[in-house]
Amino acid sequence: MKNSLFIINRVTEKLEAFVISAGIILMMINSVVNAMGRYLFNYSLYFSEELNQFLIVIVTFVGFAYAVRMGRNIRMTAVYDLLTFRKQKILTTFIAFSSAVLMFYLSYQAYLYVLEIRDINRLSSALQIPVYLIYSIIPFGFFIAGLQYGSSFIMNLLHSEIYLSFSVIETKDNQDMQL
Amino acid sequence: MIDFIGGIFSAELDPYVITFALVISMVVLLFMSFPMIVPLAVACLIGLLHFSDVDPQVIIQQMVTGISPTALISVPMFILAADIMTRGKTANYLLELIEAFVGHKRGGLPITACLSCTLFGSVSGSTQATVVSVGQIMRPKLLKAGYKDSFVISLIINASDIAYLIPPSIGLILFGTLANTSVGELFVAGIAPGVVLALLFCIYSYVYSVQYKDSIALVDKKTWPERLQAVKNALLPLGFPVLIIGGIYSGIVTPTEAASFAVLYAIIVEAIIYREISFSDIAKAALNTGLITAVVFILVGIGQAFSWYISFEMIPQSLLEPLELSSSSPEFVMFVIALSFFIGCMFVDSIVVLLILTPIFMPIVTAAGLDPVLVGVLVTLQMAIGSATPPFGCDIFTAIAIFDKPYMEIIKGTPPFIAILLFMSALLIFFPEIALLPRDFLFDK
Repeated sequence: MKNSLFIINRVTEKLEAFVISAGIILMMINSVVNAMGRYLFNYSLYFSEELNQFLIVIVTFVGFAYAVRMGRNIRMTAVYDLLTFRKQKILTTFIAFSSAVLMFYLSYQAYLYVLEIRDINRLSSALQIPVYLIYSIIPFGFFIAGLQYGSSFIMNLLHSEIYLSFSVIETKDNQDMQL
Repeated sequence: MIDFIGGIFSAELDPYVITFALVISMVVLLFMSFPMIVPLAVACLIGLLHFSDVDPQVIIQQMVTGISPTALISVPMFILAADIMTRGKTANYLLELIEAFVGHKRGGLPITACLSCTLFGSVSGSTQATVVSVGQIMRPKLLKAGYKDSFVISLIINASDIAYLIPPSIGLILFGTLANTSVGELFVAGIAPGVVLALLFCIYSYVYSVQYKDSIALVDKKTWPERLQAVKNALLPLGFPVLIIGGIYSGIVTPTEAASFAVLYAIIVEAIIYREISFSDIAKAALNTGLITAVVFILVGIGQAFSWYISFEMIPQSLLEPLELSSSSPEFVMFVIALSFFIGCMFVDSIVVLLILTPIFMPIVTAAGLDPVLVGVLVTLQMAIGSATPPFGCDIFTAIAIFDKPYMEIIKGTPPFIAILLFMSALLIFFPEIALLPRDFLFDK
């Protein structure tokens, strides 16, 4: 059971990393080709701007889930750093639980939003594809982030170390360690 | 008082009651070290659900709106270019160029560090990339020459923050998007204040080296063939500022296009000409860029939701009205704005402060007839100060991680730099021409 969880975790991690890198590289190719086309051939890609917007949405929400997994979201730890290990552990466990609840709630709201734009059948202006297909990544991203916080909550209950996410342990000098 | 607390629980639609409830919940969650998205999202939800009874789906819709502006594409592109350069030789060559000419003079090494930070900042647009790449090379040299570590670290942190002002600056791009102001104009207006700041730091470095001249050794003067080699090496890296600033100055490219060309140029220089990085390094750089972009943009999105809510309830207007800012002098209004950003950035990540305070102050900026470009430069300068200022400047923490020094050691040398930065803020408020003249000249205002 535990092993298969680890495998699923690894596979989703690789998948997220691939989507993020590919998104950024596509964004670069798209912008460069468009700008070069405009200067050299006086021709711009009619869908360039729209494609970049879609890529930004995908990179932001998948990247957010990935950042939660890596324990990389910005936190202000000034007060936290002054606490004893035991208090830090309690606080992190509480934060993981409540952040998970919030992420699942936002995921649900995003799901409703996606349903709504599917019902009105909104098409993108340049590429003419249904916008909801792209925006489906939003509930998905929040959901994965929720799962990450949820598993960090469980790991904190089961182990003595402080888990920032399912696989990242906080160490004393703030150089977090990835398992 | 009891009425006031009662108002919070009974969801009274009073701007003061709402503000109090939102601010308290945000501050408490921030200090509890929640990930930054949580305080902003919770504040939004309290406003939407508890006070205003609006469908919370609006949060998602506004998040998408917040990350959609075209100008924002330049953020990941500049980060990617910086990441590629940090993995390669660019920082080294820029630094050797400056060192070859001024390194041997009194104060030459800290001046080299300061100018390299400015130059690399103008190439990479990222303060943290600058602290990492220039800092790691320059610090050992300065320590060897006898400079105190506290001075060296403070110099590196503060000089790196000049990158906030010199294009391509992510702070200026975000301000431009939030305040609906031209990013090109902001870029041009940021250059002169950035250069003046770099000069002020150089003067301080010189004064410092004269003051401690007994304990500081001078380095050997470089020969002319060595200098020539340094110039040759630096030609390609110097193409970046020429490409970015020159391109935008001349109006040939938009900031967004400049950003994509910067990436292309970085790849050509580092991967094809220098052969310093491989294509798998580029993939790693892309992943890292995506991660940083997502961390920032998720906050930009939720910040947009927050800003939508407070303008929906007209909170900025009702809060600032009693201060009668629109009838005060422009200097006073700018002072209030600068002070608010300065204090905010001392405690919270500067991007979060920018996201929350910009929508609050923009109506006043318009009402007082201030130039949004000037306000943008002033605000970005405060972000730079805040990032290097105790208690919680984020570059301080980058420095702790890289140089492996305790917090107190890192901040010990900061006061003179903060004094210089505050002096610079005053200069901008009383002589706005520093920022605006180049802009007026180029954009025919």
